Amino acid sequence: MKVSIADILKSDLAVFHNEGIEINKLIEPLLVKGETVELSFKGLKRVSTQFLNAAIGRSYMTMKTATLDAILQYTHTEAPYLAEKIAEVKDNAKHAAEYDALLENA
Amino acid sequence: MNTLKLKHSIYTDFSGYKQLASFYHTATNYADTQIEICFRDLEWFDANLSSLLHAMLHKLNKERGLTFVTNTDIIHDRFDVLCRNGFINTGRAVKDVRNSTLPNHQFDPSDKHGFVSYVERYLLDHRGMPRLTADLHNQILDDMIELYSNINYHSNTTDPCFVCGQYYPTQGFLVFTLTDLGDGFLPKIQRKTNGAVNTSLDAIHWALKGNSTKEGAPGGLGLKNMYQYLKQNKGILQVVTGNGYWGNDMENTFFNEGRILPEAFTGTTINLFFKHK
Repeated sequence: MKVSIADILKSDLAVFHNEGIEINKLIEPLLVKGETVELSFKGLKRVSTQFLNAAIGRSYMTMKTATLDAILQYTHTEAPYLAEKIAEVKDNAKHAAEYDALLENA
Repeated sequence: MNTLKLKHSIYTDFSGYKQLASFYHTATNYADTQIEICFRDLEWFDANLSSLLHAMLHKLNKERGLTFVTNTDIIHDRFDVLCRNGFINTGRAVKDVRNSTLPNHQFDPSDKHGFVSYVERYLLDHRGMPRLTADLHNQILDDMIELYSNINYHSNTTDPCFVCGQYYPTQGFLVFTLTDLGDGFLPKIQRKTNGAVNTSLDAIHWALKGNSTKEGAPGGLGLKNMYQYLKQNKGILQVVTGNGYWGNDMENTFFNEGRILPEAFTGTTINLFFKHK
């Protein structure tokens, strides 16, 4: 299934946490079922880390990275720093449990 | 009429913030009345702090039913910059002939397009900004958006966010001030760290180190990146939240770790000093 963020948000800016949640609610049930999702960033001028944490980071925390990498595809990632941000959000989410443990033991 | 005086000089520093916080707390002793803000004994007011004073007046109006007036002759004679940036409207047309101000403005926390337009139009293109490469222009805009999105999420308020700026050619700085009326840094960071971080000052340090909850720390990435940019380019970052006050201009001083305000104001104020080259 193709999910166009700009069409859903009706905006060329995807920056807020609640906007990310809106996208995550749409894609996560599909991903859990193992369906392929194309997440399209077409038409977006700016995408924030806050948005990505909520939109995709949540799923990387609950599902296996290898599984997600196989079924979640990102297209039109031309917005500034978007590719780096996606990589960072994936990495942060994967290490969130270790990070939390570090904090608790700090 | 009740009169509250602003005195001495109010700069974008610890002393200036303390004076405005004191003004705010004195005003909270009143309710449902009109207050004259007297500028007669004030020697200087950093115009970018219109953002903070505006936020205070908004909160006092909303929670205490206060309205405010001032002597417009004094404003026109000595503080016309507050008309030029739009903070005070005296009914007389005033043009920002020196092109030194950034408009005083308030944004709904969800008004992302309004905020981005403001940053692009008034901040990044201001004559007081350093000459920016396309990459740096892009990066600063991105950092500002990160900052705004984090404020939107963490401040936990529907109150507006207040911005204003001022270029000081003599000092060579353009100062941009962003104020929100939310919860401040501490509550979420304290929860996230299970109480390990339990002061506003420590919360500022925690956020600046790039620490992050899985869904971003208050200020988050934007603040960390902005700090790095400013540090590398002779700029200054100041963060005031709760009773914590920190700025990298205090590095190598007795107050290296920041200072505790005797009277806290709500939310968070961020001052960005861009060094004009």
